[in-house]
Amino acid sequence: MDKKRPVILIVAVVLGIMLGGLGVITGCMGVFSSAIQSSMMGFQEQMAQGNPALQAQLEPQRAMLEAQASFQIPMLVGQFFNVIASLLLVVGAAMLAALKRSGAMILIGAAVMCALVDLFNTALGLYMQSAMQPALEASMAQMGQMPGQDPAMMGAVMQASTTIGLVMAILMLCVKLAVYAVDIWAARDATVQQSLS
Amino acid sequence: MTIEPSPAESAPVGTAPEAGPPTSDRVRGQCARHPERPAKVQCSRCGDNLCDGCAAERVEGVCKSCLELLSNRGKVWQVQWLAVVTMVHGGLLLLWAIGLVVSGLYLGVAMGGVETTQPDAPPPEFMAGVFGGATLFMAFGQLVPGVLQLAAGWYMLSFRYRPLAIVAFLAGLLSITGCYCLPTSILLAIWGLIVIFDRDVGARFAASA
Ligand SMILES: [Zn+2]
Ligand SMILES: [Zn+2]
Repeated sequence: MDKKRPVILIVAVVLGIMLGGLGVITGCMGVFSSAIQSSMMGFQEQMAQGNPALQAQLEPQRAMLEAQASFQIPMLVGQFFNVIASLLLVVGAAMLAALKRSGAMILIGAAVMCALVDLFNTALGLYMQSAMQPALEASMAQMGQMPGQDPAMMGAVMQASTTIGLVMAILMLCVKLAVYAVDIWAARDATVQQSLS
Repeated sequence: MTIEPSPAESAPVGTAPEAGPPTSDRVRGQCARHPERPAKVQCSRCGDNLCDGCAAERVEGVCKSCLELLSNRGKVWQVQWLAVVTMVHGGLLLLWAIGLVVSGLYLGVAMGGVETTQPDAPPPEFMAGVFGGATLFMAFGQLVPGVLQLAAGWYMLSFRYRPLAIVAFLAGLLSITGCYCLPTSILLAIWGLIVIFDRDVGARFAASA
């Protein structure tokens, strides 16, 4: 590290690595969690074999997974591009840290790609949630029936959590889009461009 | 570059302003870097004669070449990176704090408004209070290190307020109350303390204290 780097370049690199790392992690988690959920379901169904009461309990969960399964392909495609774009973002940031001019270009392209992929994935997630709402409510009603639970309190908490989850997803998207924009602005900064070879 | 052989090894930098050569109007001769210009003051670290232009580039009496020399040693180059990462981390903690406050208040209000049907259930106001209090406590654990890290990172960029940086790194451990940011806080604290307690980094901070 002999050559001094402008602070804005460091900002571009740090934001790029952070967003890219986050994207790779969430992308992989999205793929794995759906795989784990369906294998868990298979296991639970085996346990419930020959026990009608237990099978009835699993019903809402099964409906939820079925609703989810119809979105499997777009979800996998979305997560695939999420991982690819995020990896590119990390690579671009690393090259920018090494003062490579192509690094800035890769970083800007990957940030635009990440923003589009995030828009798609958030929209898909919200749509999926609205499609799963009936199954979700059925499973909540069932939980309210369990002994020792106050159905009114349970319902209020569940409803509030759903709203918060929705608002958080949208806010998270807005924050990420804003940070992508800052990253692009930083990579295009004149002092950054001057320091590149 | 004209840098004196080894003043760094013979004299610690932080104490220079008092111990160094006088920087009064008794300075004679030419600027060490601009022989055509008259010298006005001397660098408090290397004692070089400095013209008006060079004097304007000093930080706390230390000339530009001394600052560059101090900045190229040891782990000093990492300080800028540490500063940016610290600010980003602090900003994330602040966002997390705001999210916790808003969702905690919303959940608390929702729980407080419940008409309970069970005679032996605790009153909804009590539940809402417990829940809201817990959320605010969690948010506080993010808010304090968030603000400290934003400020510490900002001042670190110009090598100021080293103790603030130390406090901010340690305060990051408070984020354990929010369950989420602790792994990054621990990594940041380890890296941050290694860099900030480095001898050369200390010298650079002292030069612009
Ligand atoms: Zn000097
Ligand atoms: Zn001069």
